[in-house]
Amino acid sequence: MLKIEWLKLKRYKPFWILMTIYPASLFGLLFLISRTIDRQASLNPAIHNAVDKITAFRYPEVWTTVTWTASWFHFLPCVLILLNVCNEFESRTHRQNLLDGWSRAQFFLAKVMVTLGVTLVSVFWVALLATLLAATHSSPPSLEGADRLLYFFEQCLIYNFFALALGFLVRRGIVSLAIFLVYSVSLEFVVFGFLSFFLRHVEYYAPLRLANQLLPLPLWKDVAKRISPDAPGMEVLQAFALGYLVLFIGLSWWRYHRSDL
Amino acid sequence: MNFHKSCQEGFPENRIRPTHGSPGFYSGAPIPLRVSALSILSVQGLAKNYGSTQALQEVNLEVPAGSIFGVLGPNGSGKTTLLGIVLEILLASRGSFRWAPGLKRGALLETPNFYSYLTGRENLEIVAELRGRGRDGLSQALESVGLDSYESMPFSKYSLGMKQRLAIGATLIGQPEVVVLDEPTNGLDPAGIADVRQLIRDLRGGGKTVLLASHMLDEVEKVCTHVAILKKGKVLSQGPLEDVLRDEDRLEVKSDDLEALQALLQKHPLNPKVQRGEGCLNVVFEAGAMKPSELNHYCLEGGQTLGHLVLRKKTLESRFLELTD
Repeated sequence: MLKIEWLKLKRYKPFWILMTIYPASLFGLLFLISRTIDRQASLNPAIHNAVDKITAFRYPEVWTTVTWTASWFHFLPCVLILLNVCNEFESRTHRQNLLDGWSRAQFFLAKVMVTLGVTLVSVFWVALLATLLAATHSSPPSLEGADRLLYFFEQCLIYNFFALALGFLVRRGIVSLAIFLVYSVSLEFVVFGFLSFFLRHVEYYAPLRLANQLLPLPLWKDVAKRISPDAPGMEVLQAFALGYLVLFIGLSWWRYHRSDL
Repeated sequence: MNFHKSCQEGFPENRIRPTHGSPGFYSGAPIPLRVSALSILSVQGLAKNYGSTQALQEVNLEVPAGSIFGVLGPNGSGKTTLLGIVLEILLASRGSFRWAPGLKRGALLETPNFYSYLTGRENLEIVAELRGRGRDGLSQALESVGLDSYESMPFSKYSLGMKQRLAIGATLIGQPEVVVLDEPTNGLDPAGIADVRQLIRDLRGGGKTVLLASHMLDEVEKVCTHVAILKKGKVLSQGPLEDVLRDEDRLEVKSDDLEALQALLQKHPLNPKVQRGEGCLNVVFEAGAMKPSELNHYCLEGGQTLGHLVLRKKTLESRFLELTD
């Protein structure tokens, strides 16, 4: 199945562009921040002393720094997943796949596997970048705090399967992309903010906000706890994250399985 | 640039070349069908609604193994809907269908759908993988539809006829026992249409079953062994082509004395319809009720020597128009 998806993707230019932009943007941003701090430190002894205390690019904090920063770039793999699904509908190649021997379940599973693959590649880049950054800051290798990668993996899964569901539900590339961007930037905040008037604290359980809460910025964590004392704990977040994954996959399959193609 | 231009304006080598005996593709040698049952596809009470519109109404069909089964009908009659359902692309509102078990199918439904950024060959590689076949036979497939010289061209640069050819080539990869073709001659020039006709005959010669939807009646009449005629989602007639065409026998007769001949024929115990034609009489019997030789004998006994006696068969077009008008 993955071989067939690979045959479809290997000559698809947007795939390579997005797969390159994602790590390049992340590498670029983090190295820029890191180099800027180092440069300022070398120019000013006072800053140098302060920088010495900054541990963001050393183990174990580097895992949190990189995963949290990477969480701002989720939209790139999501765009790739949306295109991967919607292109099949728009060019009706998914029908041809079925005529040529796949069942609906096989086609759906192939897209789920691509989504999982993209998620794993994202995690790989983040792990590699954290290791490289720590190495450039003379931090001895350590796996302490590497559980952040697992939370990042979960966060990616929620975003990516949200995109997959949107692709299967909407089927139109431009429309689903617009919905994804509007929803992630403002619509979720507005909708769940409105719902919170009727259902207390429901805003904490909005899917993308919930995913973001899996990786809070550590410097901000204590402040956030004071501002939002009712925010759900990690176990609750995990349970809801799993629920959302099941919901997104279930909705996508239901729509694909129960409709004319 | 010139190369692309020439392809868009006119495909210079647009011949579909049936390749008898090509390994990995279809061949002229008979391939034993896995099922010896009478029908390869059985459709029962199939219905499809789009809101209040009934696209298909209680369709029953039996497609015999080894036949070339034409599904005919005017635009909007439900041909593509019917094929879409049996190919599991559309969901039926009611009814059921059953393919003979273990059959491999190749199908072209409506338009050719391929990945525009991939070449013709790369698209066929995906088809071969989907069918669980290796890449053997891809070159033959491209050659047989006249696209071997254009295999490295992106699908997006193909002309409509080339796209259709690629789709036909794709249906044949992996030696399917059943080939479903929905309007396969769309976009093809007369030579291409003749090639498709020959290809369909070759498929039958190879023991395969072909399910063909078309509104090109003369084409269907030339190749089909069985037909079903649809109108507004209903099957008006179906069966072997000859049976569908022969709902009556129309004999054209002439003698020196047409009036006496007409009077004699009107006394015939089978009570045929006798109509005046141009310098002749048209005598219409129920299908199979009267052989030309028997009519000749009857006329001779009645004192009329026939100078002209012809059994006129209906064309599929006339029968189709009669049923669908």
